[in-house]
Amino acid sequence: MRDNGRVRAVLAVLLLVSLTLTIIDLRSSDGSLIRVVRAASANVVAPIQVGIFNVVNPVRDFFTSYSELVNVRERASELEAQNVELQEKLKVSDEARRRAAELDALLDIAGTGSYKIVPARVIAVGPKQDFSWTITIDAGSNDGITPNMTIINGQGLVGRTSSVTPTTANAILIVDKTSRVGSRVAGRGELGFASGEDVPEEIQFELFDPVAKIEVNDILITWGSEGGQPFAAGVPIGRVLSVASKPGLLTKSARVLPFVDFSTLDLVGVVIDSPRIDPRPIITPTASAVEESENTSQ
Amino acid sequence: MNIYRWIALGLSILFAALLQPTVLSTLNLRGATPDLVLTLVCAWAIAKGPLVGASAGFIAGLFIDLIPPTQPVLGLSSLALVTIGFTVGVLGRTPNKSFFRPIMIITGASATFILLKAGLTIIFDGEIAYSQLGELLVTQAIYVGILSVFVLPVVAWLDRRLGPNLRADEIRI
Repeated sequence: MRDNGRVRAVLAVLLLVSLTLTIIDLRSSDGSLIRVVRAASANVVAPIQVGIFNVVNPVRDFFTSYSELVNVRERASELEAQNVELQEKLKVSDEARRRAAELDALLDIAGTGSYKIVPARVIAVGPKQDFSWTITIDAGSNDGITPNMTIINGQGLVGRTSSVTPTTANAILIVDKTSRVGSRVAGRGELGFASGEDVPEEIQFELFDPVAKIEVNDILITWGSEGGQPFAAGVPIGRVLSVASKPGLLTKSARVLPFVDFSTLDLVGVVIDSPRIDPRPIITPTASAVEESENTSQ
Repeated sequence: MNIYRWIALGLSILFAALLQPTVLSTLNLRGATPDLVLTLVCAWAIAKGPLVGASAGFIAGLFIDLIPPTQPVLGLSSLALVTIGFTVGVLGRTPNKSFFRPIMIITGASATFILLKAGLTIIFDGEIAYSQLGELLVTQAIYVGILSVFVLPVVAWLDRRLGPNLRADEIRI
């Protein structure tokens, strides 16, 4: 009986401590003890994670290449199909680039258009049962990375950095439910927010304008933030799969397929220096809109 | 539980918590990431009872919440894992040294863990993707079931090597 009492007391204490930690963490601000502990543990773990990656990576590469050797024929046809798909995508991005160049010329913004990028490899992925989409990359503050920097790869926008240690950085992917990216429909200029749904192959895009024109296969790009942080301007996000305008809602929404394949992330780039001149267009009210507002105010 | 067992317990769970995001997550298996940490907590609970199970769950929860890249609210995983560790410890009495019973218990515990974690996340940390929940449950149960076949004997072996089993170790409810 005495033992049972002891076990129950320990259980109660452990549950109570966990609950207290939860509540403290939810209430805590930036400088609190839990944040300090969290940052310290990230710093301790970072070199270990890099070490594990360095040990495991050759082994994984060997098995990957071996299985590829076995399935080489299947792989070839797969790659051919992929090639066609990529060429199509290339045409699409050419079109986007042409449009962007036109737009820049029109607004007389001499955007250099070239980002300075730190390449990095994904060394850890957040377990799916934690209900979040996060990664750790093997570049950190020693490489000039700070929180809230854009992460891209060859396909498009990946996410943004959330916290950094000297040698690693943690990032929130754009498919995470907490992620919101200010984006624009390429070629149309319509603005909205692209938010993650915790599903790797879908992003929800909410347009500000309920009567805005948006069609299937339209391309979504970032509209860019002040100083390129957290998101640099003009990075492709995804392609519109379907458009839904629910009656009674003030906004129009669309389902977007991200260009990036989040299940096979490997090499990524962190944008540490966005173009010298912000290529954002300056939106000013047109003459007719000004007149209109004057008329209504009278 | 002597001091060596506590050290072995702590180190094995820390090792699993470090391996989980770097190796097991990057295997890109369908659905959930094979949860080695949960399997270890359950294995220790079955070997040493509810007191050790709850403690192992508490330690494991702190590791999961503190080791990047995921940074859920600190304490959420502990809440879920203390409950799981305790329950598995209570259920894990195996007088007839059955091989399958502990595996079945751990498989059930893994699905329960996903549901508990989902519930706690909804309460404290906002929405989750409900469409993924079914796949997470099924894959988690399968992966943890397979892992437990290997983890149970390892923990039992560690337990035997680290000194004689005293009667005080066999606290059961």
